[in-house]
Amino acid sequence: MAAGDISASTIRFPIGGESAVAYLAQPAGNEKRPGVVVIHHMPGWDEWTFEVCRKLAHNGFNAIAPHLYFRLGDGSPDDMAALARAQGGMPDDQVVGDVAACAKHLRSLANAINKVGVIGFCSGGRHTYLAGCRLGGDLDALVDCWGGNVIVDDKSQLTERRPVAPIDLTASMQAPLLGIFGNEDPNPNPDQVNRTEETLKKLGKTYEFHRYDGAGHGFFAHYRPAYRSAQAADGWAKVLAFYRKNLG
Amino acid sequence: MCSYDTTMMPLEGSAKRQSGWTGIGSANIYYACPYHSALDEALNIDLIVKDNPRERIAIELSVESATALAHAILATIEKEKHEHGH
Repeated sequence: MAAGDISASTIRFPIGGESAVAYLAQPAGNEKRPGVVVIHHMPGWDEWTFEVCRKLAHNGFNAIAPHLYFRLGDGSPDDMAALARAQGGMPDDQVVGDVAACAKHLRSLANAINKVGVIGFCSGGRHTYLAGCRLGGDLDALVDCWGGNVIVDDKSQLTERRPVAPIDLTASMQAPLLGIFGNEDPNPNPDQVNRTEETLKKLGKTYEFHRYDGAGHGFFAHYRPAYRSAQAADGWAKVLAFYRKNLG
Repeated sequence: MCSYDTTMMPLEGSAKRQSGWTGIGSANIYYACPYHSALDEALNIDLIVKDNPRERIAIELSVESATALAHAILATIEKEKHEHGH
């Protein structure tokens, strides 16, 4: 066994009587590890999501990515994402329940310590913020990567499935929050990021925000033109340092 | 981006995928991160199979391409109307 060795596979485990699907990556060996729930972005439970899990495992964390669309049946991740979109996305309550179940599963692993963090990208960043507010002390560190619609300026965007703007739940957030944002991102735009920070500061929350010039939405995505290598490298370093500090 | 905003519209016609032709009953159109195209954002069109709404024929286009395609479709129809009165 060499440093950085990992195991990774798709797993099934029960959530509320249903057989949920997730991707689990773990460092090799018997050393006890903290865990991270990885929440996928709107295009679905895709290769990028699995890469994030493996990166976290390579760096010493158990990482699990729930397939938020598993209830829609079998099919390719992109087709499941299209079905989810046609239904208006997954309900917030359901996503929060899936994150809670994954946190519990991480804590049940043979090589687990009790600490669990969450990271999410794009819509998953919003889900991270939401889960941090709704699950309170069940989570130990939150990483929101450019989550849009944490602040909802257009109230018509609130739906039965997403009835509350996460910013309005901030008082319930207990874990420290790391925010990673591009200054050229239209959603969340710099003004929304500033207002989110104002709310966190006003409520006395523990947070650190990092804003990157020359970067827009999704600048970690190495397979898209939006990729910004220097900003992404710095962002990943900050994510890993934040987890090492807060998850042990 | 980061939006579930989707335009849904009925369609009448057919489309062909690898396994053959199928009837199309509707389309979902949205502007979002693509799954396959090497674009930051794309105009995505899902042609929904009439007899199986779980199945789609998906298209991801750059905004420029989608705009040009829309104009070309309208221009083709207008030309046909003008020349043959359809």
